[in-house]
Amino acid sequence: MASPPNYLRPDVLARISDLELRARYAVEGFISGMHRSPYSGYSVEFAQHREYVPGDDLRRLDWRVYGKTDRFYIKQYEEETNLQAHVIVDCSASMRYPAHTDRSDRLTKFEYAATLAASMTYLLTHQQDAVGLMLFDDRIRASIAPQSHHAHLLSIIRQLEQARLEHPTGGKALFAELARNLRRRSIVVIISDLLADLDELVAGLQSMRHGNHEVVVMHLLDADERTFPFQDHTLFEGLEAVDQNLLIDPQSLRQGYIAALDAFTTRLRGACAGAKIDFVELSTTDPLDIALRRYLTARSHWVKARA
Amino acid sequence: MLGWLSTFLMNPALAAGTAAVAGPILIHILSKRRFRRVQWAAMDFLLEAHRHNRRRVRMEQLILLVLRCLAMLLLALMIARPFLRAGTVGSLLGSVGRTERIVLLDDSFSMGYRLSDGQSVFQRATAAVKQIAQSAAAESPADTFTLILTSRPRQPLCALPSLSEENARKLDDAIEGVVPSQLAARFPDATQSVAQLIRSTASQANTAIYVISDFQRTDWARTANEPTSPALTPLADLITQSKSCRLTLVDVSIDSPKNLALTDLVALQPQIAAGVPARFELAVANHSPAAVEQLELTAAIADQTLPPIIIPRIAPGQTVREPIEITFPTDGANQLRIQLSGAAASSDALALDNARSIGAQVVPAIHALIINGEPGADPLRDETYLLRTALRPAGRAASGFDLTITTEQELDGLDWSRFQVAILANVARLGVGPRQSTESFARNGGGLIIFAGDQVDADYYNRELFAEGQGILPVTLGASASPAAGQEPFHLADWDANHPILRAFSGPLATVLRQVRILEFTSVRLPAITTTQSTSAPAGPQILARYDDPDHSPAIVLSSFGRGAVLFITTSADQEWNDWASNFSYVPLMLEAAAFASRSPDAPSRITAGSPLVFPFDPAEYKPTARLRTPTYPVDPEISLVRESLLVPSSPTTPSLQYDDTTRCGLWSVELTTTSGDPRRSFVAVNPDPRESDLAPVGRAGLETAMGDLTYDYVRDVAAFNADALAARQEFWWPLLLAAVVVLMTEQALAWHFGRRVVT
Repeated sequence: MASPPNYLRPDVLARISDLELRARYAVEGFISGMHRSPYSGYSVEFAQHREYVPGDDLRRLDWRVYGKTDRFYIKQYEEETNLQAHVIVDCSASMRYPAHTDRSDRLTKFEYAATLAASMTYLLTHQQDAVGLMLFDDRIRASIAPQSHHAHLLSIIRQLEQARLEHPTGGKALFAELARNLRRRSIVVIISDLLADLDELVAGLQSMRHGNHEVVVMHLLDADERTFPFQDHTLFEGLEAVDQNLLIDPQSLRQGYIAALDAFTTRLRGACAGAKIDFVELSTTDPLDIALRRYLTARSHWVKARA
Repeated sequence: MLGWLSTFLMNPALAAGTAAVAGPILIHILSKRRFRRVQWAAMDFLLEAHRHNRRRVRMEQLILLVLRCLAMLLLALMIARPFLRAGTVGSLLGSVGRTERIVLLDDSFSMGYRLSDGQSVFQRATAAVKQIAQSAAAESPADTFTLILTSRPRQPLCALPSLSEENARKLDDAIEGVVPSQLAARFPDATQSVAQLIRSTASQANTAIYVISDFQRTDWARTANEPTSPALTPLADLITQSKSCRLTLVDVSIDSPKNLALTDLVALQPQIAAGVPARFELAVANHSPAAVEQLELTAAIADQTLPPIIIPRIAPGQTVREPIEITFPTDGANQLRIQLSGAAASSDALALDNARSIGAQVVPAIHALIINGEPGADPLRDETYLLRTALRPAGRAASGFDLTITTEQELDGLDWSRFQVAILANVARLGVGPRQSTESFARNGGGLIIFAGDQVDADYYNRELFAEGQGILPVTLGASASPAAGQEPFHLADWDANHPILRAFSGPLATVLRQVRILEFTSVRLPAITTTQSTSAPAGPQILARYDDPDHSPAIVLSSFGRGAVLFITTSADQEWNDWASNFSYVPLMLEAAAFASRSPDAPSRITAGSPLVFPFDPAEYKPTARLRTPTYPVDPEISLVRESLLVPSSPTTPSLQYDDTTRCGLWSVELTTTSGDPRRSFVAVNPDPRESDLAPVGRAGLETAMGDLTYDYVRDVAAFNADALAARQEFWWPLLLAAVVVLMTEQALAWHFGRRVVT
């Protein structure tokens, strides 16, 4: 790899820097919710004051500082959270799309997924949460145990850079294997195009949920795959199954393709809803921050609903 | 190809533009060959969509492709400027499209008339046929086309199911080989065949009948009591009843035709004896506006040419009958051929009718049976001495008669069949056997000459021979009459000088006959009702000569019995009742009477071309196979006729052979073989129909009259007629343009409709 892809793009990070609070809030809310769980008593050590911004929990206002200075400050604590997150990124061959040269300025699905994973890792490690990474195709290709220090981000990024997109996506057994690798209850974020057998996929996702993990499925597709914008006669060559070729007039099949995709997505979403798995649809054209924001917003709603 | 295209395209060359149809197909194929490659992840969805939509997609693509091709085709056609004929337009408007075209081409020999440019009228006519076929092919190539010749109306020369290019070539080939026949145009037969053809097809198609002819007045004129010309009577109903039946008369006649024709050649006596001058009569017609002077004719017996015959003058439109005497030196089958010769013949434009022939079965002698009613040792007392001296004079001069003299008592057991004529001279009565023999002899064509006389038993004659009009005697006999004592004897006073027997006695020779003194004759009474119910028998007795007695009593009565002629002479054969034998007229008159009455040969000597050749053929006498040689033998092979297949009983007693295809003029030879193996040859002349020689066209006005109420088109100039038909083209490029626009808009709408479902 002459110029290894940089999955921590400064522009993205700059754009998401203001997410920090929301992220923290969401995580904290999540954690608050967890208080009612058997896990109890996390260490609280005061760290600093921070000026209040709207949306902060009023309970954390430092009333004494307000009494002295008439200003709103929030007390911040050095937190030692029990949050463990696993980012599971699909590195199957289908994630290579768009593979052709004229789309070089665009991110492939894997690039997008890797950037998203890196950004999340950055976010979570930034708030001292432990983040682990798993790469899978038909089986688990790489696995990094969750840690929370900043240096951990680099190893995750290196691992993402070294991914080889060669194998097809696995089925039910793969998800069982993934589930076995998750010992503690944790947040599991799966970033994948989910181009696999639907029944096995649903069964696998449900099995992940059995471990009481909080599962978020980010269904990532290229914009082409959602809108099918091709015009001219095209020979479609399967990325995962090399022997699958189809020479067609794409316009004539657009309707059928989109219908098939919709049916797939609808069923997947229904299965996820049934299994209480968060299902987020993403396109590689969506700005990363928007994607993150969408997830976090959904997450906070979920947390509130639980509360 | 271009020729075919030009039948409905103004610019046939631009029809190549229809190749543009291949454009959309090529684009379709090429676009399938030029494609992008995309490495695709979501193949499952794509394959599923493909599986579900493959048929619909193909159908949509096919519909669009067809529409695009159609649009190209319409545009290309529009550029080539197609047009419709009047007939095609009519068919589009709902009438029946196909027309049956039937061309009746007159190929009678008059059509062989040579024009001054060397062409014949027939060539004009065939050119007209081709032009009609061409314009018909241009107008509506699906039409059927039937070409019928008047000479063979039952076998169309050409029956084409359509006027395709190949069929048109066939027609041309067929026409090329046709020359005028030697027959007359029998239009009633021909139009009858056309009518049958139309009726037999029984379709509701339009029918167009073209008659191409020189429209001779003899064929087409109509008499006052006929609704239309007999030539068209069979078609009249079809044309008047059906609006879809159109008649076009194409007149190829010339305005003032000139034709000299030998219209007749006939033997004036039934039997021709070898070495005795035989009389023939020929007729020459001058069918031209100018008189002909010093016309020369050549006669020939077989290969021997006789001195020329000169006819001094024939006025325009006149027919001159000229008697000639020919002596055949040998007996047996002979032939006589007369033809125009000299300048008149070489300048005549119609050659076939310049010659005529006749076959002659020349006998060594005419066998005559004389039944002597009053034989006597003294020649002057013998009833028939003078008569037989007259018929066969002593010395070297041949009269052509061979006499057998017998009496009534000797008749039993006599073989009558070898005699041609029998003479009863003053026979009192006949026995039952001889009477029956006499009757059957006359019935079969033998001639009878009956002389009156003092021995004749009038009661017997009236009872048995007249037999209430059923017998051989045409009249009943009364008392004999003589001039009163002291009066002048009677004379022959009034006779039919046109009759062959008495023909010689006109002009100065009439006085000779008038000098005969009649002392006594038997008065006769003609039957009151001569023709009762028998229609086949000729009209009653004919009185050829009368006496100058107060009653103008008949002297010579002619009648017929069966096929034979019966002459009754009311005075005696010897000089008992007259001094006729002393008169110069006695010998020729007796010779003429005997020759006239003698039996005609059974075989015909001449027939008109096209009429059947009927030849007597007695199976008891001849072997069953006959051989027929046409005038063109040996170029054409002999025709073998076998009795079994061609036996036609022409009468209950005489079997005969019949041959119908006598289409060639000239001498035909018929050879029969007797049961003993001897060949018997005879000649029959087949001559052109004299009516056909009169070329005078009926003309437009004459046709107008002849056609009566029938509607028809009269065409003199086929080219102009066809040009009129061509002028009826109608172009229709604008509906094509409209159609192309509609097709293109439909294509766009459909393409939009098929693609509309893309947007989700």
